[in-house]
Amino acid sequence: MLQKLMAPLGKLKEPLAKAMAPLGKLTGGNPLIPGIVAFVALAVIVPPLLAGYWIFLVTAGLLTTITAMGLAIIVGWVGEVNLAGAGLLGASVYVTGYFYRVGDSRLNGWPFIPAALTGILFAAFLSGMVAIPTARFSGIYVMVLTLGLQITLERTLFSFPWIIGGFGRNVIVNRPKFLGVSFDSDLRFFYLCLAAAVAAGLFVNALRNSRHGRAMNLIRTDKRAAAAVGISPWRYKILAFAIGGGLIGVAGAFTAPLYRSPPAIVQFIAFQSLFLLAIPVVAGTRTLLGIASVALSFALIPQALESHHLSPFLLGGIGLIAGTIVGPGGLGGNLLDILQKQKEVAILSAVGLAVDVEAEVDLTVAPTPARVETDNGGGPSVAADGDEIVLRDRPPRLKA
Amino acid sequence: MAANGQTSVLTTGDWTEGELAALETVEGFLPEQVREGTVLRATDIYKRFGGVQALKGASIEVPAHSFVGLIGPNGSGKSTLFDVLNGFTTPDQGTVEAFGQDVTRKQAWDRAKLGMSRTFQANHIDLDLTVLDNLLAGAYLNVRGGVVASVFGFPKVRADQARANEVARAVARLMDLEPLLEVRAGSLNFGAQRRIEIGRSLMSRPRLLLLDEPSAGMDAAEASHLLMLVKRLQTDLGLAVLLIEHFVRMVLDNCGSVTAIAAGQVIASGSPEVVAASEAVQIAYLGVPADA
Repeated sequence: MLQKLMAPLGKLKEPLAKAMAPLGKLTGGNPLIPGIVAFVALAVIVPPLLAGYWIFLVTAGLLTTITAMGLAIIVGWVGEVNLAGAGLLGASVYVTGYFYRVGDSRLNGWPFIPAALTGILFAAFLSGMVAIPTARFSGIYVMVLTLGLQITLERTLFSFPWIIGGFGRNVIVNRPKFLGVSFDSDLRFFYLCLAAAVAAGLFVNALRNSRHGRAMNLIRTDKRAAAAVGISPWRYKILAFAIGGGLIGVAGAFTAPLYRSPPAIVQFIAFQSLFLLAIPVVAGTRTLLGIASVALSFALIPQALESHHLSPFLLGGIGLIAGTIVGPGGLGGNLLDILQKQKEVAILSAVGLAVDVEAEVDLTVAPTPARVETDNGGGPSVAADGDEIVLRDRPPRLKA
Repeated sequence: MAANGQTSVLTTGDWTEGELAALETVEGFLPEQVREGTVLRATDIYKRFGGVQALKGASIEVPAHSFVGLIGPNGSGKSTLFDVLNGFTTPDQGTVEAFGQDVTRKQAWDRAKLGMSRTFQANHIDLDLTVLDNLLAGAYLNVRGGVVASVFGFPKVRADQARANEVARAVARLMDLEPLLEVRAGSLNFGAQRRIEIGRSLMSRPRLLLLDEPSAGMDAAEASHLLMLVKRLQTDLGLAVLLIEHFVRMVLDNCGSVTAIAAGQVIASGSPEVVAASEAVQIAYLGVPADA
């Protein structure tokens, strides 16, 4: 039924792939590069043309992007669900805000960078700690464990007015100033957050292509396979949670001065964790551009459609459902599949393999995603001229 | 000549010039292989799962630079024994020694550091990743650097990654995957996926390869091609290989020694001829002696 409903979308894949192919040629085989350049260029050029309110919203969207990148490492790379995203974000917001703001305690008044580092490390520490039981548990247990952390934070840290600076007290958290440059205006603070988001993206991209990123990915694929080549799944789950928590902490550190006063705890409750989780689920975790697009959409759409009273939580709920329907690759993963398929067609054609890209997906046939027909008794698949290979629309998973 | 008097399908053939160059690259990457003695010894292994006694005093040895087969009917305990050897399962009793060390209580990833690598019955590769990325995942132990060094691309990390890339291409060449390096594993056939998994194991710099039914799901012709490849690599790289294989004839024809297991116990061990002639083996497979 679902396949029938999705069939018209499938027909769009081919023309879209053809339309995207020239971009690949321009960029040495990476057609996403123009998209990334365009994205950053738009992010630099457009905000000065916007009203202050929208600059503020886009800034919030960038910080949501950093949060979603942190969650993507946990959800997408090591395959665990983290329902404490909002709690970790709030923890960093309030810890950073507590040390950074000027006023009500002799522990206040730190420079922004040490205060932010404290908030980031606190979030990373909490997230890493919650991953320790993953040596024995996985899946639903980790989900419940992270929910436990979320609720615990709500009932402890978020309940202390002297830390969060809330509950009717008139507390001011100034925008930061570095090396004599003030980021007090919305536009300057936007550029600061843009720089943080780009730096976070570069960090995540470099990590993904490192041995550590590959190790995390192999753990998600198969823990036993990872262990068989020398990777400790437990160690890498803790590392993924800590790095993911640290990135969420970065978002929190920059969120602390965003509102110029401590934000309300309602922004960091369990519902908000679901909303944040929806971003990597919808976008998929294979492309940072996809994550940024969905995060910004989630930040801006409810405001753009304010007159329709569209709840961000509703958007998150729809997003989780949509992400499930789209599949584990998410929207970004599906786009990458289209682009990758074009590349594969070229490669397979170059080695003399005829490619049938119109082949239907048959998810009931497990073990042979693509069949190379050779005249050598089913031997090596690097075949001679005239051999035929069938590419499926999506690589089917093997049955357990 | 095979045990049944027929010519073996597994013969170490000649490598092409390009394959020889690749072989040299891989050989230079692998640690020095053990040339004599025993690389793996499991002694008197017992393992119970609830009411099932999966292993009852099973023992097995893998000599250096050897190709050892492990056969047995379904449910005989082969995979459990593999899990014990590999470190996925801790035995209730008995010891496992690898490369002269007692590794009975060591985790699988610690055994990999000693040079023990393993493949699985079903594919355990990432179908969304390219062949190259799947191979590189196996090089984890051989690229230095913590998170900071890796992210900022310190020189030693870059050098190790470049070396791993070079070796991955060589492995791909040997595994008949070279033109497909940029193709996703999920777009390739089952045989290619099995070769990716074996290639990934080679990337972990093994001295001992444990192959759990590498040809499962293949027809006899595909299986013989894959085993021929494994045999050539084992011979020319000097690896020790322990192989579980359901094509018993191929094991008997081509392994240097064979261990047969049934109901959690070793019922025969020795040369293929001895194991093939064992009445206990014939009964385990046929229910009666072959000459009955």
